[in-house]
Amino acid sequence: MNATISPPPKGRRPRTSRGDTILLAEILLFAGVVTLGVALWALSLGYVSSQGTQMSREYDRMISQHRILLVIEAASLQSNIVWVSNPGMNDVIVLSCTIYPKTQPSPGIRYNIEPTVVAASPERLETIQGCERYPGEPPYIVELWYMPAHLYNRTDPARNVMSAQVARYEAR
Amino acid sequence: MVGVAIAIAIFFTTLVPLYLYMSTLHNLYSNELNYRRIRDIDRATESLEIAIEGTVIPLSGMGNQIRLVLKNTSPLMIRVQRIWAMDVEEAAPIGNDPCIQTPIDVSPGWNTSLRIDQCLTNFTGRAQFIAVTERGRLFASTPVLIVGGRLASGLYPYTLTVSVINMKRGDEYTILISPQGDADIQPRSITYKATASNENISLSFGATAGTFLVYLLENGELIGPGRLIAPSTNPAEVTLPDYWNVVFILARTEINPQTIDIEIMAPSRVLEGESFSFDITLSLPAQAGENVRINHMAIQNSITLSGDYEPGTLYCIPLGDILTPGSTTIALRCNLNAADLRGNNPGSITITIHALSNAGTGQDSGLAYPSDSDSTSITVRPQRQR
Repeated sequence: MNATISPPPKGRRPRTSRGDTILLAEILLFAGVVTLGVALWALSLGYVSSQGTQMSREYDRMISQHRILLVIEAASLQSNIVWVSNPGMNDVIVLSCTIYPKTQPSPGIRYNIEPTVVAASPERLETIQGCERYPGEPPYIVELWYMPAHLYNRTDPARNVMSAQVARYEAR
Repeated sequence: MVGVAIAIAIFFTTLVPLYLYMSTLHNLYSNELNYRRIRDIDRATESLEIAIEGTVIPLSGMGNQIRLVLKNTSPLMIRVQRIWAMDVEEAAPIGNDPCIQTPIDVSPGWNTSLRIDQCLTNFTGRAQFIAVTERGRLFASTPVLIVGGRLASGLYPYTLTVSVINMKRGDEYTILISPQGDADIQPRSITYKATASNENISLSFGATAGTFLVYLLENGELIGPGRLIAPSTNPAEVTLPDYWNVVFILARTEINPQTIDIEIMAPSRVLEGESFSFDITLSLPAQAGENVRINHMAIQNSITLSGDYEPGTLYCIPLGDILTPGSTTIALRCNLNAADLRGNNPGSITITIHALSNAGTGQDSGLAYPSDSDSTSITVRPQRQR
């Protein structure tokens, strides 16, 4: 049996849905790729932004620790007053002040005074009052713990300790 | 193609900026570390010597000054931000404030001097000065003793010497010094009793610069110009540090040599043929104005013997050397042999010392002191068995 295929009628092609399907598929593919790319891009940006913030904070902490310096200029053992100045480049906050005999070990950070900010300026002189005094024979060590003022977090003492530095002064 | 484009976009918009940001942060941190290292090296290089000077300028009317000398021995410029005066005993700042708050720049190799006595007004105790530099270093002076706001080691930097020549034995001499104006001296008076005629003394007094009136009193009375050879006035005026001594030369006290009393201390009797000893003692009257050195040889040569003694057996040993006024001393201890008697009758020996013109010599004056004469007789008894 011979099958006869009749030619399409002249002047008009028969309409099929095959092309539509391919186009749709291409569009969908393109949209999917773009969506995926944008999502990936957004994810990357978020990650980079987060990493950047974290790095900024870490570098800020490290740099700040190098920029601070507190000097104990004088101390009065009679009135438990300590005179300090800050020749560093960042403001510092004093967390702890203790006066103990030199023969004894350091008591460490005691959080025994109201935190006092000392502005970064060698001209300015600040007084720290109410230092905790330990009994014993002279000479004494005046010990101040301080940290960069902008890193201080009142609710996170453990974190503060990580950024704290110490200044000591021998008083006879 | 789109995926590649997006991947490239992500790479250039996230990873590259992240890398650049990290690199910038690291550079920043590295710069900070370098800056800190440089600052620490600068701080460690700072070297400041602090010395304390006490100067006394009473004539200028400026009063006593205490000055702090800051010497920069480092190759860096040092800015001293503050200077504290610390009470070492109390371990507290004097006045509870910095002594000097004005910044002071000290160039490398230079020194600068600051007046600081205003921080020590009426302060007594040990003080220490601490200089705080702009870089945060503390430099301290050695503690110094301050008395009444003045530097103790510089209280009396000069010495005034007062000499008195030819004092009269037994008299009391008082030197009184009256400081004029801001001048000061310690002690202000000294009394000395002369123990010999024409004695000389020199005494030193710690003094500040300034003018002083020096008085010399004899037995509580001011010595008049008639008794003084020099200076022309009493009190004498002297100004330190231009002149640093005053010499009072008194008219020399005349010394009259006194006669030395000679006495022979011998046994009243001796046996014939036996050796015996006798002493020659000298006494100098208390009126003598000086010590006398005994002339042993002259005394020994003036001994004359007669009677029953063996010739050539006299020998003497000198003992005492110096006679002080009013004292008695044994000048010679002599030995002599009594001669054998020719019968049973007792004999005698007579020892005589003639008066001398030079029994001794005055230690201060060099004058010869005469002596009187003395004589004694010794009975020589015969031996029984004869």
